[in-house]
Amino acid sequence: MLESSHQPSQFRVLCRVFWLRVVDLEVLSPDNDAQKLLGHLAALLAGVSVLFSAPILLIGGPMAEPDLWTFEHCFFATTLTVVGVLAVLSWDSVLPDRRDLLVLGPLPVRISTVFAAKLSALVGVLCFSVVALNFLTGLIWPFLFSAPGSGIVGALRSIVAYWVTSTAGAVFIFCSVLFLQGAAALVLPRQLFLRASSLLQVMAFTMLFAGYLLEPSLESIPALTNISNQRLLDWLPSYWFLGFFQQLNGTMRPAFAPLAERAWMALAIAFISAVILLLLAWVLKLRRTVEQPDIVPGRRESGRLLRFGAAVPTSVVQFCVRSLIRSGQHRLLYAFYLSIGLAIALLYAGVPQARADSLSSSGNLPTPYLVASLMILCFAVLGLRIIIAIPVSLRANWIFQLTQIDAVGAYLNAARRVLLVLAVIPIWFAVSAVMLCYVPSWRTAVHLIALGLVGAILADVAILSLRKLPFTCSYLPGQAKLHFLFWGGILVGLPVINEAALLEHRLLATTVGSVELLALLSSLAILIRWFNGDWRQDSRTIIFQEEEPHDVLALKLNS
Amino acid sequence: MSTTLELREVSKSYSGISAVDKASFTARAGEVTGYLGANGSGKSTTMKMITGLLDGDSGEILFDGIQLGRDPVAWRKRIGYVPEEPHLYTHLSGLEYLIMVAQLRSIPQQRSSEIIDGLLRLLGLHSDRHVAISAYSKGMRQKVLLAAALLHNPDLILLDEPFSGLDVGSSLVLRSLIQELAGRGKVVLFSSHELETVERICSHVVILHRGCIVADDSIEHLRTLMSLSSLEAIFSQLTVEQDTAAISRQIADLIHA
Repeated sequence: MLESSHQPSQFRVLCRVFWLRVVDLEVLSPDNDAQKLLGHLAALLAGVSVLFSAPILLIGGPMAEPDLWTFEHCFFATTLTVVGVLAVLSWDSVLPDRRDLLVLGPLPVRISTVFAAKLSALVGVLCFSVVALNFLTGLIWPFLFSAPGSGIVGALRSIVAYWVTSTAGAVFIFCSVLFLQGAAALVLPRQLFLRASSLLQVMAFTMLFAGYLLEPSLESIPALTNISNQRLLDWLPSYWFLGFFQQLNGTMRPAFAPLAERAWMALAIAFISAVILLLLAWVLKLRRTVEQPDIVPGRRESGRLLRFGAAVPTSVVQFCVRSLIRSGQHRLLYAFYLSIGLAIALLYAGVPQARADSLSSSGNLPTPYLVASLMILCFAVLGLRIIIAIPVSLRANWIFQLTQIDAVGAYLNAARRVLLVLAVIPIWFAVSAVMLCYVPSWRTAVHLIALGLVGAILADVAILSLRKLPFTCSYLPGQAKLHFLFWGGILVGLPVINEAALLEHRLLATTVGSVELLALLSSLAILIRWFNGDWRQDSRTIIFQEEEPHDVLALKLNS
Repeated sequence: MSTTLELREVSKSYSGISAVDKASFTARAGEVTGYLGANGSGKSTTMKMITGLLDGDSGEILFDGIQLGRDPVAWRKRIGYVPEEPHLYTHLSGLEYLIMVAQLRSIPQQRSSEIIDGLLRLLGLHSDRHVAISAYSKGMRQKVLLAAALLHNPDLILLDEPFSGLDVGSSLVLRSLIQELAGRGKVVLFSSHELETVERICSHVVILHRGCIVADDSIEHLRTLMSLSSLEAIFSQLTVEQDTAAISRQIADLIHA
């Protein structure tokens, strides 16, 4: 009796807790401020909506049908991608969580209440993101999308159709990600699932970003009806939901009918299978989740792990490798940044010029391949630089502070090795394997040497201003500037990388040019290594506890 | 001259609130100095200032006559510290954590392997050495901290509530270990709420009340001076301001209401 009377309030309390935690707060918000995070997210999505509404304000008048389809497709593709990214970011949040079960287990709360609260929180986030992303586009554009001559009734129908389609698309992509998680959680043992999650997340992010960036423009009747495009359309959900919208809007041409049909089917299949797998995962995996923590260390002799030089660098690098491998938050963020790089790299490598050039007999490497390999390397280093600034356990950092008995340079050099070991070297090997398979030539070998040198330079550049140990950094709210660093890096970096690749392409054309390229990069690498050397680092101190700027402290606001 | 840890008028305040106020005392090699006080009296703050984790506002801390801050690296090499809260990197196993600490302290690999293996066996953690610390009990975490603090054979051992979470057997081992370490010439500063244990192993106690030192003497001398039979009675007289019986009665009344 007591329990049932408490059910609604329990549900509300839990729902609120899970809602604020769906997108793991620490993943996106270093200062752990839930309201601020949601505010940022809403502002970001609403900004996209305002941006998308600009054309209608500029063009104003009616548009040709194919142009309208292009806009419709763009909006639905964006909704699908954004919701998909949120779904991957909130990975594991709907599955049974050890922390929740340990905390809530002793309390008189039914598991079904926990499950319902988690699911409701997810649905809440889903609705929140769809509304924020479409709040302006979903009110303005449907007036243009409505059937000609249908008047206000047609416009209202169009608004409803737009929102239903956006929501259906969001549900489809969300359920698809849930299905992926649920299937992996059910099939794989818990530890393997946790380890495989990173890989699945990278794959999911890459598919979403690459799908969004690489999707061909097929918003015309000839393109939609062309037989050679049918196989492609079978794999592009954004086009299915374009058909879905046309059907609900009452403006459907016959070419859209198969797409609409596919959208309905996909929605039903994704929804039903996600619900079934989710329920099964809750029922079958509950006990194992409680019993097993996050990824646990292996049973091998830890002391026999790879060494990375002297004792201190070895200790720092091994600590960082373990932190990245075992911390879900860091893995997820690294996967996020890597997959953006991978998607852009695929975008470059997939351009027709690259395919044509790779098949030509000139023997030179196509510029897009050069851009793609540089791009993925830069994203890996930049992403990791951001990740290492997020602490794995702030309160445990005292041990590094108390045991700092070596010169500061040793610790900062260890940070450089972390970037080499976790970003440059794995990416270099992966790129080498792919490039040597596709374009095996001496120029590829020269490019790979150049890429290695660029990686070394990037690792040094990344620690130029670093005064903290990776994964042990403390921070002040609002001082991290991590996201600015990333987006600023992209804005500045993309054209620079493009130009650098063009220069490299020219130099690789001749033997002398190739030698010049390697000499230039080697000199740069040596120069920055010298600049970043012990002589400079030893004059610095490592920061363990960030303090407010002196002028703020001087105000003595707390005293 | 024997090794000593000396605090001279050390003060620390947080946001204008005094945590430690002009604390002065000396801990000598060969004896266990008990550092006592109620919650929030400033014990842990003092410990952290001695380790260098916190900067004091004023005063001097000297070990072997050398001031803290003159050579922080040499200072850190000589200190072993068990903090009040078992804050560890819980994603590492016990073994991985200890190896990391040994590497950070630049202990040669062969030597560190021997010590770590021995400590894990003696502290009863060997069978769980590959298990993540996140799965350790509080007592196990405390043992990891203790092992990490002793790995490099420090001269100054700071133990902040070291018995917290330990089972009876482990507590007895630790009790003997503290005495053994002091007997081997280490300076041991030890804080605890277990007054019975303090009474058994400490030759000298420093009692802190609201950041100020209210007693600094041998237990025997304090007993005589205050005409009280036990350390608990001395401690109560010096620091406990509440009517404990009345408070307990009020709590019981409150939950019964």
